[in-house]
Amino acid sequence: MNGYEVLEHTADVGLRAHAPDVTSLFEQATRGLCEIAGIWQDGSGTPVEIDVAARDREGLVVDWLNEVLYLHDSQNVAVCSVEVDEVSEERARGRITVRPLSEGAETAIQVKAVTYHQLAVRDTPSGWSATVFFDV
Amino acid sequence: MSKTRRIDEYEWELPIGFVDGMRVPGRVFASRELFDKALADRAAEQVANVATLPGIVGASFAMPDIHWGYGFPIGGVAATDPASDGVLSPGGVGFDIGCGVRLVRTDLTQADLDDSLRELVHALGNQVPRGVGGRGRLPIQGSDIDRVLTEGVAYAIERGAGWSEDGQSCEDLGTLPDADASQVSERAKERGRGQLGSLGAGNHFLEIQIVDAIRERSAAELLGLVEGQVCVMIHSGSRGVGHQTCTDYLRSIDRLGNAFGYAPPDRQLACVPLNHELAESYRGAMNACGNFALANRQVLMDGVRAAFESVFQSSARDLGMQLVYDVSHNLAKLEEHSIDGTPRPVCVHRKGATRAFGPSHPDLPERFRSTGQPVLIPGSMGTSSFVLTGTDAAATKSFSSTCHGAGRAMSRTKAKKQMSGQELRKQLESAGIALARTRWKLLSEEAPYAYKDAEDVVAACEGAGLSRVVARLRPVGVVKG
Repeated sequence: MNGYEVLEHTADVGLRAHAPDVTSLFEQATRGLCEIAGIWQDGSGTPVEIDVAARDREGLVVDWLNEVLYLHDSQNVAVCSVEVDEVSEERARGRITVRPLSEGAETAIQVKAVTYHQLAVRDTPSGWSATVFFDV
Repeated sequence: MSKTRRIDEYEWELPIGFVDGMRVPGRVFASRELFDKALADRAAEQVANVATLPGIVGASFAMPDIHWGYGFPIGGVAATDPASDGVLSPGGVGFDIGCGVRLVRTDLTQADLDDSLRELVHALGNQVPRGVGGRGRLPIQGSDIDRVLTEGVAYAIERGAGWSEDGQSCEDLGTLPDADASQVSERAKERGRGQLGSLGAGNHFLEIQIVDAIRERSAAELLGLVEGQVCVMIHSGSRGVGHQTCTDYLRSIDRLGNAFGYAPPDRQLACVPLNHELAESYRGAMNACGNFALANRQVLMDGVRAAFESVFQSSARDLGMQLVYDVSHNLAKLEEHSIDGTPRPVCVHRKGATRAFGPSHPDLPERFRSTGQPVLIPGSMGTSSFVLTGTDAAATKSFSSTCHGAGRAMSRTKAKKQMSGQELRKQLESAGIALARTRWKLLSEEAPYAYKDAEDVVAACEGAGLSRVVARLRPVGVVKG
């Protein structure tokens, strides 16, 4: 199983990503966040390296996704692709490619930040899953 | 799980034991109907979770607009005592640090809008940058960002955005004390530089409103409000600088793990003792972001005045466009409150709740000694908003706090399924509400039916004794973020 589903929340929004391995899981979560925010645009872009450290995999998911949001908001860019090289217990490395968000782009809801609320990363017999909620 | 208990018509208790580890009970101010809604989503559980915070005093409170948040419920109020190892929790302020509301009055009446409402809404839409990635009206160069973070409204006024007296009509006179720009990361500053004077997205908005009922005449008079008058309400916050600052400090605190012997029931409740250097740094950064939010609403108001000037071909002064008041509803403040009969400084977290000092509070400016602090409550798009004032009773009931808005009742997905953006547009327009051009397909995420009725919320606040209703305003023009 490879993909994500949007989770309902009274005020905010969350996602549950699924993947056969943990690096794909981070890629699915990235794609989910960007599609929820309407900032995923297929095509070519400029690569930006991401390298985050946290105390566990849950913390890594939050830091990784916050890094994507920071790049989007500070540089006003859309995300074109994501590639995760390594996810250990305390470090995640990889890159996204970005390109300028086109003027008047039909973005969706603004995601302010990634929260630790109900955060979970699980390695199950059927694959990996991650649950994360966003403040919108 | 222990059972909830009704204390009186507008007050409910979640007893110790409602969830494990509670140090104080939970107290929810709400009518039965609003309380049932709080129990139906996970908000009541979140009130109880907050009651586990070290050093919490009195109770974990929730206002009638309570709904499911992340960590803290939206509408949550918690005071922690530095003398009892009390903690500071960035999640108890939220990502939109200093988010708040301001109200601008005019001498215009609805009749003055008859021929110009659409033009005015269009002009406001053009003057006020909004949406995702919106660039602000007042770009900031280099280290000037530190001045915004330190001076708040005063900086915007010095740059020509506003009148010298505007600060007098803001909570904290437009500048939060104890702000420390050096505790705000370069990343946060980078996000803030281009966004001063931008509305943002989501539930942020700007509305042209008509005062349609006055309930407390003397307070209304003091605030310059009369029936039939045109006003403008602005709801916005600290934009990317606040979001990044909360993210930065949550990460730093999260990395400490359970170093202080407290394992929060929700990781978003991560916190540090108030006397820890990280708490001191966060407090300085949070106040700095609060100043950015104040300056942001000031620059937005400057755009509102400019739009009115262009449409009515008259100066904003001649149009009587004084600032009525400005409040923040996402902050933690060190305030003196009576704890077990003794006045003590405590840190009051308000996450989607508004400070509401009563007339006798010593920190209230002279001007409001007869009325109490003004409080501004935005309704949902297309429904009434309110001006309230604080009561002395709120000091002992809720650490001088009241509600902050209508409060969501339905997820965005459900709201969109119920009606399309275009359908809602037609419905609002047929009700006489003009809408500035927006991303229509997102409009119904913020539909009135996705929120509780603000009328019920402010009635519950009044019933509970937390605040009094001064005026009701109905919308005639909406510029959605």
